[in-house]
Amino acid sequence: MRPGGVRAFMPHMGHAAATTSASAEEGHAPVPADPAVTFEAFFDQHHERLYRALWLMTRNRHEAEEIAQDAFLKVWERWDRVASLDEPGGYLYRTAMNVFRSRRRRSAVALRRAVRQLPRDDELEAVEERDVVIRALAGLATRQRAAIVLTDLLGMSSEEAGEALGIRGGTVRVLLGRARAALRQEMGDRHE
Amino acid sequence: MIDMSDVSDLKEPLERASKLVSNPADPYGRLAARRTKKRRNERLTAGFVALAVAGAAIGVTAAALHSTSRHHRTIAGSGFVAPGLAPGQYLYQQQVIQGVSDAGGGVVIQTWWASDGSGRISEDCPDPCSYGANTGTFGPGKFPADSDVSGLSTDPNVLYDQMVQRTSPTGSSPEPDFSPGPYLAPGVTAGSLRVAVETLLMDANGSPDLRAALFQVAERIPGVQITEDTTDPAGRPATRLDFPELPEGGHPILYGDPSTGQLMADSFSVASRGYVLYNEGIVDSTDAVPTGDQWLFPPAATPSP
Repeated sequence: MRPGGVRAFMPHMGHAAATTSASAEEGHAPVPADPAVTFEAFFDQHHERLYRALWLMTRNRHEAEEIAQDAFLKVWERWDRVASLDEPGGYLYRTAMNVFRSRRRRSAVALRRAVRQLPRDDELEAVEERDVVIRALAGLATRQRAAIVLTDLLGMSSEEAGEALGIRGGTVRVLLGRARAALRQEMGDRHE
Repeated sequence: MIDMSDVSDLKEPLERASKLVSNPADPYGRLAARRTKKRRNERLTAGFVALAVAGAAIGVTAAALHSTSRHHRTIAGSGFVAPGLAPGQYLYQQQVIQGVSDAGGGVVIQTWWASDGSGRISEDCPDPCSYGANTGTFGPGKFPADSDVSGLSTDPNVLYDQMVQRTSPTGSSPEPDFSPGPYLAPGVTAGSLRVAVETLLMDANGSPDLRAALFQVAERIPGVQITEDTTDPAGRPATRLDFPELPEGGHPILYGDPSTGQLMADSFSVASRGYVLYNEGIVDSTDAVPTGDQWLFPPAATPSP
């Protein structure tokens, strides 16, 4: 594997689109990627975290895995280019959020396909029984869940989360306000 | 200045919660298989383009023979009486979708579609709702639908051939989610034809006479089992179409109105996968809901199951 071929996901998603020219300015000439090796390592590094974040957003592990697979496939097909970005992890997360958004925009037909094709997440129901955070997340709208996962779990700023979700940073802050209050209340009630 | 909205004490609880889900089995292997399948489909599609060009003349002859032979087939449910849509009229659909809401209730989607491609979509989804329809009011040509229905015939014989063409690898129908059943044409199986017809039937665009013709095409798909004089999940008189078993288990079911050939319900033999009820009529504006004889078939007594 080439040195630095896999970079850790950085919270500053706005830098994800940086190109190899940025590396060159820093004195690091772009190194040709070795797609056969580095993509698999990249996958190993990011899959679990992305999948877990998507699970919290979608509340269905099957859908979370579908979105993650779609996002990784898009990245793989562009790996020659993505591997040379400063933050390929950022590109992955933005791609995943695009897939997440496009799936939410699906038509009524796709809703029915989802009903048929998406197995019920029995595991979620079991976990919900015993975990206060999972139960509290269930009470949030999908956009609120997405906002709180992107910011509080993945460390994006509200502006970066807004960019990933296709909404304004101000809207993210409004979503976060209610989501955090609901989570804290649920967790507080639990501890009292 | 620090934006306090970006400061939170919830990271640790969320981290802990996120680790409660089990990891999927061999995700990289699945990804590699998905990539291989996609590449193979792309190569197949390219090959079929060449085949389609080379065999166009043969195809025309075969289609004519195929069409002739079907005239002798007994078609259950034929003789439907379904109107077209006049300018200024809207096809109203109320779709009650059971099984997609986090809260467990039904999602109710109302649509108004005019033949110029304008209309309106509204949605009532219990909060919290994991899915969202494309709601709003849409000008001519802007109504969001999965398929373009312009140019499709209301003659079921002609429409059958059009659907086979659309289902071919170079056609506009979506890629099938499975492929069982007999081979019907290059790249078209009974299963992929069902997906193409079903996609059009379930979408909210298309005049009632076209939808009746689509239901008759569905009846002709090899392997379908037709049950007449039965009822849909809401208890309405219906013709039921059972399609062959899918590889992952269970089979799709469509219910049509015996008089008008309109789709009344679709469901699945595996009960946990939910079902959809349809109420349908013709109105003159995107604010109106059908009354009396504006309904094309009896509306379900209780829209929300």
